[in-house]
Amino acid sequence: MKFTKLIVINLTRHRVRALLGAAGIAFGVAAMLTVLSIVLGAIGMFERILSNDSHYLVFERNVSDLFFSSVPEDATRSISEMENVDTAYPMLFGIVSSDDTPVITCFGIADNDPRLDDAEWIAGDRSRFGQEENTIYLGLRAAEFAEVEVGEEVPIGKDILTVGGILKLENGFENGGVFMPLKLAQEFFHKEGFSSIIAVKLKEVSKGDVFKEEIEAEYPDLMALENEEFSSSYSQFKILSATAWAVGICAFLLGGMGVANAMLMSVFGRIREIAVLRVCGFSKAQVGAMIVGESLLLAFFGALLGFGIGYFALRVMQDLPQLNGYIKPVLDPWMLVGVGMVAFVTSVGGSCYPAWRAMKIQPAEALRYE
Amino acid sequence: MSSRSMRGREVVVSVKELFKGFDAGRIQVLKDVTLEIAKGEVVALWGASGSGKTTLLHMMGGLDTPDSGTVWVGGLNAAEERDRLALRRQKVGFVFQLHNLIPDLSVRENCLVTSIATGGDSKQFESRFEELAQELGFDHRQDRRIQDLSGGERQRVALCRALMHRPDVILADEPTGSLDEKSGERVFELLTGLAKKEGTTVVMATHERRFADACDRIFHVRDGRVSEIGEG
Repeated sequence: MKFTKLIVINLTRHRVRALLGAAGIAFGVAAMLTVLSIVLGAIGMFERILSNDSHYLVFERNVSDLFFSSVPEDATRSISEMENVDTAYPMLFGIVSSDDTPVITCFGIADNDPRLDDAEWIAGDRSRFGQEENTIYLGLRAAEFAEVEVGEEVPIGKDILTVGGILKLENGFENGGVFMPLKLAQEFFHKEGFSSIIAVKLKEVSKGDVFKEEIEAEYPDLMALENEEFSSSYSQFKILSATAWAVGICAFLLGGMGVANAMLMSVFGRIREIAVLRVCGFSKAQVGAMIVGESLLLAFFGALLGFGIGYFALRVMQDLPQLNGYIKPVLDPWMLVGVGMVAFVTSVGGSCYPAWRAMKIQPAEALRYE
Repeated sequence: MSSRSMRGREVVVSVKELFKGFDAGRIQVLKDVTLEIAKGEVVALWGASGSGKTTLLHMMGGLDTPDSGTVWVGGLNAAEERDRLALRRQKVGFVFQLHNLIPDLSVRENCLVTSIATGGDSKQFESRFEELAQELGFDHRQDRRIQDLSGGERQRVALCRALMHRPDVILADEPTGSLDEKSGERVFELLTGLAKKEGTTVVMATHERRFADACDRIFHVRDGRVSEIGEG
């Protein structure tokens, strides 16, 4: 008989206990997977808003959040005239609220911004963008939520603005947001002459370092980062990501306690049996390995179940009309490996004390009271 | 310990001036025990319940440590931590009053647990199991679960488990104690018969004089003291 077979048999002997232990890990995995997928998906959406077919982002140096970044218009002009620059589109971010909606994300963009061409115009005329005063353009979700149509007026912050068009965009944030001509956005947010970022597309990406140096030399208050470089260094993304991992790990800790409890109960219920194994020549290490092995097997099946539950939950949320477009689950292989590793570490951690207790069982003492 | 002989036979169990107490020495269970057992002997530790028989067997099997004195079994010092695991893996096999088999394992799996512990050649253990199962008369029930067996059958499986790794010494603690008369006699016959056949030493704790009388020698255990009272 093999050691692994003994481990499997031990688990199957107490199915309910084993199932409860595995369920703890499963819910931990599912929670972590769901939270991470949603948060990383949201980060990905925001990254796509920023990058929009560009290579570099230019923004104000040392700002904690892009909403506070101010890039002067003359910088946009001179950057777009640089030799290696193909396109340079400014974008101004702002957040306002109205009576019904606590958070409305506004995007101030240039009239020639390619996202206007890429969007599906449900209503309104693309060519009129920026041509009419006090006119805004709504993402489809935002229009549905506000229950407004083209030509109607809608309260945005303290102002009443006219809806000039409704756009359907793939990105959930954009689809739920408000697009303003850059000039209007600058006035609305009192940032005349400024944008939040410039999305720059280069003619030759290989000369990106030269571009960065030129920006730093020309505009000491600005900095240029490659899109990926920006994503990995932007503190808001880091905070979101860290929060997601923290929430997931907390869920896992609960799962780990479930494993610890299941294994401890299992050890206490098998004191005599473990003593007999010691009598039959099992070393303390073999007894410990048996308990850890049982726990790892629980974690393995728990993780499989958790991946299934998490995937199912994400699919359900993705298809919910209320969340349509806002959740774009990202099942990154590294994230799956990370979640699997946390499940492994949690189960090993949860089995340490039970294994230690099992190793401490004195055969003579356990058998004395037959 | 150097190899010693007794009546021309090698000594496999040597206990000298052994003391063991519990509850910080307030209860003295074994007092100045000295005895020697030769290879292939079947000896009885005969005495009443609570006289110290089980504790003495535990000392011989390395399950417990003496307060003072020495216990050598098969050339290994049962008082030394480093020897105790090897002692259980190679030198001794245990049979208990209650069979102490693992309930949800089959007969075969219970016996092959020893192969996991020792990490020995599984094929050799399999063939050893087949051989013993036949000798002990449960070869037709080897895939049954323990709960499906009678008390006598369970004890025969326990005997098989104890013999799987060809130990020098079988330590049997009241092996017939929980069985009816007929089953008890059958288990005793099998135990002593197999031991004689394989040259294995048997140290059997019992309170039944009839089984003690059937052994080669009898040690009387009384209030923690052991004295040889003659041959069976």
